[in-house]
Amino acid sequence: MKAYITESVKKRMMELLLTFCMVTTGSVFVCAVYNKVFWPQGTFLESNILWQLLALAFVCSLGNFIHSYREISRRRSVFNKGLHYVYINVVVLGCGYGFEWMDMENISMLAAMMLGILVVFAVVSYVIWKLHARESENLNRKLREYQQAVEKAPQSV
Amino acid sequence: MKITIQDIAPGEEEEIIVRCRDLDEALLRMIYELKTRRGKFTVTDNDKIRQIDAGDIYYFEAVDNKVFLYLEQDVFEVRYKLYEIEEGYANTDFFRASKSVIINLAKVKQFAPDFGGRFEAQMRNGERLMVSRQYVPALKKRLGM
Repeated sequence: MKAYITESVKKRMMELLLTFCMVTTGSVFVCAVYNKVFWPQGTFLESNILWQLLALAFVCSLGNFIHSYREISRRRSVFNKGLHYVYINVVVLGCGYGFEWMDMENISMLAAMMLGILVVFAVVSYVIWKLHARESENLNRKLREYQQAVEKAPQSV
Repeated sequence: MKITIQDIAPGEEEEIIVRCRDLDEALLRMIYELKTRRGKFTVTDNDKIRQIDAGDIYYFEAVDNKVFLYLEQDVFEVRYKLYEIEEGYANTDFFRASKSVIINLAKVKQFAPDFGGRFEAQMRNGERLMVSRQYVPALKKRLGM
């Protein structure tokens, strides 16, 4: 059981790192588009923005811990996904306000930021789902090998 | 047939050696049963006692402190705790998939990805069972991944 716990911790860390990388990439992309749309002259970008984006990606990645390894129902799992999305919105909009990336009273800025969150969240979720699907393909390949080995067991002795 | 049991040193791997002239059908069956640790479960079916071959079982499920054994179509209550089945049938086709379910890997048609890092085990009889996220590393290990 201890080995499985270690395995789980390792997997969780890998997931955290993967999410961090994907969110960082997504944030940079959204930031570039956002800057182009709202500050075409490029006056928005400061050197601090890089650190701010990294901090944002890290705090967003911590949202992975909403998804427990404990056994939960499918309904709870869907609820957690929704909670995760709300968490990301709060963090990004909070950072947007705190770091003065946007004017909260400017509806188009707010809408663009929320659209950016939705796109990045959807892309990251899709990539994670595809990785999970690939994992299930590998499981199925190994399952077939396992079942064939069991069927052949009497002959192979 | 003579049966010899030898004591071994702690930590040494347990081993069964079969010494025979011919590997006949009966001996092959016996070896197969040893390898798969196939046992039988006794259940009551309409006041009749019935023996169920472990190989015919699709899965076990614990519901309200009772454990049920599921065949392709029938369901029977068994007088074992889930952990007893898990321990007694360790290293066989039976695998603990969640807190309340033990599945027979030989009866799994395929695994499908499910929400929240879980997998869904689609059984050969069409039933769908959840493989909890916390048991996925054990499943991978069992299947040699």
